[in-house]
Amino acid sequence: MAANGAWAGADAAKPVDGGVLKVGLGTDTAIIDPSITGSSITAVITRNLVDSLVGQAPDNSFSPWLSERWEINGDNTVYTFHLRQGVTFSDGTPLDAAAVKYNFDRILDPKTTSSYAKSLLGPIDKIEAPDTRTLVIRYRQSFAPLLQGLSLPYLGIQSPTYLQKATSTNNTVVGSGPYVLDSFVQGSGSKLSRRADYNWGPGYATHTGPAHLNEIDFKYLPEASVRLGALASGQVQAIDAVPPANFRSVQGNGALQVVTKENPGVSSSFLLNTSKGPFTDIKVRQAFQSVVNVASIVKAAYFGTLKPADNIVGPSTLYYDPGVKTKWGFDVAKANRLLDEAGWTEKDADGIRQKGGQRLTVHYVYDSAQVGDSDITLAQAAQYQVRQAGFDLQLDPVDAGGFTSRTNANDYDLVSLYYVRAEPDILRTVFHSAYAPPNGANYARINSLDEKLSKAIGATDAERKRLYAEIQAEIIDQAYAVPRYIPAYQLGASKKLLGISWATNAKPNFYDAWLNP
Amino acid sequence: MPGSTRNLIRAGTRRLGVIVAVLWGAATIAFIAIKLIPGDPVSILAGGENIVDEAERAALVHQYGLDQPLALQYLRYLGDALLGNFGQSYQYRQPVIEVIWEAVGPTLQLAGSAVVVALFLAIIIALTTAGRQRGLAATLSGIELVVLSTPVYWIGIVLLSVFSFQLQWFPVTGSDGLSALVLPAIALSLPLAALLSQVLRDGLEEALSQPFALTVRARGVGETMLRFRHGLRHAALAASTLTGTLLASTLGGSILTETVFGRSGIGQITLQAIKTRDMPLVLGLVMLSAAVFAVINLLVDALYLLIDPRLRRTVQ
Repeated sequence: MAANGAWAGADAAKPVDGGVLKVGLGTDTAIIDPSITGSSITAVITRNLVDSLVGQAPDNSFSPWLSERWEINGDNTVYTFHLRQGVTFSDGTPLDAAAVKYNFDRILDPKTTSSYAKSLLGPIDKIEAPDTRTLVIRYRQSFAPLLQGLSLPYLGIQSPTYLQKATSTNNTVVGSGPYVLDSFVQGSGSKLSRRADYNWGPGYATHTGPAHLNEIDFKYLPEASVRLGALASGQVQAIDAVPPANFRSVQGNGALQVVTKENPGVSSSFLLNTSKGPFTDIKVRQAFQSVVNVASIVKAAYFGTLKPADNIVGPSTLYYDPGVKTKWGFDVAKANRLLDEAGWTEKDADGIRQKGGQRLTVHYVYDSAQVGDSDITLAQAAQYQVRQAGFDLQLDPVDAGGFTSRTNANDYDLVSLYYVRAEPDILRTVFHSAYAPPNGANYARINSLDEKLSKAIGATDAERKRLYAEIQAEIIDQAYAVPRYIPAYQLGASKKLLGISWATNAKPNFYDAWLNP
Repeated sequence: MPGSTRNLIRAGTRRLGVIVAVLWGAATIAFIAIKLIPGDPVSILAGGENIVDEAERAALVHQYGLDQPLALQYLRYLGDALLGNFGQSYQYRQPVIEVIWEAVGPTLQLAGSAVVVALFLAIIIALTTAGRQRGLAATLSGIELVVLSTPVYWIGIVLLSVFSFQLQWFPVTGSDGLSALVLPAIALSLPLAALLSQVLRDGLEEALSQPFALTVRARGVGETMLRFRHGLRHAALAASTLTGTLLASTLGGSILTETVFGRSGIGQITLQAIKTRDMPLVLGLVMLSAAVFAVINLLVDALYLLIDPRLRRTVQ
């Protein structure tokens, strides 16, 4: 459901150089240094500023970028990259193997307080730069997801000269990308200008040489109606996070369009806490999974702008198994039968099931600053539905601090989340026991997938495919989760903005973009 | 006048002592509040996705001194604060002082221009309506009440819809130079102006009904001059106290205004600091607002002396 006809067709026109692209963003970031933060807005901005060792095309294939080619040994423990020659950072420093090594060593250094970028690098043993154009990364144990991680801006390469002399990297980035950061002001936005001597774009790009646009001006406009007004009045040419309720008005405007790019990675899901309360019983979990009519609640909350999920990961994720969708679905009779079998047989006056005098109450704990209005509508719709089988679903809105303290204290039955990443290793962050709260997102608090998740990190392609298929099936069968919808990046844009490509993490890529005057 | 100088110094020292006590109290209350409310600073420190293992978590806790006893954390915090050091912001990874310093400029611009606009509007409205044209005064007073009870947020969106999206007179974002300051400043100033003009008008009406007004009129001084030179001085006392309080509380309004208009500033970072439990930054901001209140109170008191000569004599 990516590009519509107008968008794709107009892309065939000959790009025009020049112009300033103004983009309205709904979220802000405190730090612009992609090595330190996991913020997705940082990725959107810095994708224009830093280049990656490898590129990943929308079909998940890898292409050369800063590396002309690479070799990986049989058990995914030694990666050898051969760097492109003649690449420089915008401060004039040459980009060589030592520069790349400096970047990765810095990310691995605990003092840098990098967590997401560090997790993408995995269990590195050591990094070597035998000559200026060769970089060797050695692992303590097999690690297959490296290439995908390397393709993300979080592992983009910054100038070592700049990194060494900067006292703080939260306001500036100096990379080798097609644009240079002129300014970044928290709570306001970033201004980028084109590098005239850029000539090393990713292999999947549609052109070579410098970017088309003279400048990109990212403006932070947190208020959705203000973002929409700015787009409709032509003050910006693109906005992100178009509210579902406003889709029709944007699309009804002949000059505008909404481009939806589905995220790969863990779909937006309820995770069921298996370690306490009613959800310790697999039958109760399966009953809950069966009584949620995913298609209908997603439609109610998102007006058909997002697709209901049929699996724990989205279809654009590597090794997504389309067969999983047959394993589950809306079935009230099945839910009732399972709850009867589990001993929740009595019902009180409200129609809520009871067992041994205890009501079948489950608490959905969420950070109301993080969970958007539509997601709350979705939860309310689910609340109404699960009641049909006798569940009392309570919505517990808390703030960020309340969320971490409730989840760290194991005081919840459900939470919701999604993670954007094309590499299925992201499942390890959500279902491996090492990442149980407070260390990560294993809110289901399970350890049954540890072995498979760990094994899949370093296995061969065929083996990984098999393991991840089993993992996807098990998450659904064991009802550790109720997948809800496939989250998407929703870009509202002027029809004059052409040539946007999409990075695999479903973020717009502006290198090929241009404005039709 | 050595006696009066000594008096002034004594009064000054006493005021300074009060300010220090206020700052210390604010710092302590903020510290206690932040330790009491639930939350996990490490998840903020780890940045976004919160993927850390036990060892990293321990390292972060140690790096930021969160493993020390509470009393020690408090003393260290007070000691550092005395030296003007509020530590490193968790989310910005930068000294709190720097984060605040960067945000102060845009907010001062916004709050300053809003107060100037508000004072200007309020004085004009009060001077022209006090004690005359019952109908007009009543209508304006009604409008003032409506503006007062309208959220700044909403005023901002209406202003944007009309003057930016429809008429395209002003740009939408608040960081594109002077023309971008106009709408947010007006949005923030309207409720201030409404409140101030009510207080000023009441003061003026009271002043004009006093015997001295009759004397001045009897001496043949024109009505406008009377209002401007004599009436306003009387009304200014209450209004100056109020303006001081309003100036200090524009911080609250600036959170909303900065959000609507996408401006950087103290409001934005306060919102972020509270949302993310960025402890050092919250504490720094609390200290800043306590200091601002204290200084403004001092200025207002000084202003009293300027406006009312009788008070000057009392000090002497």
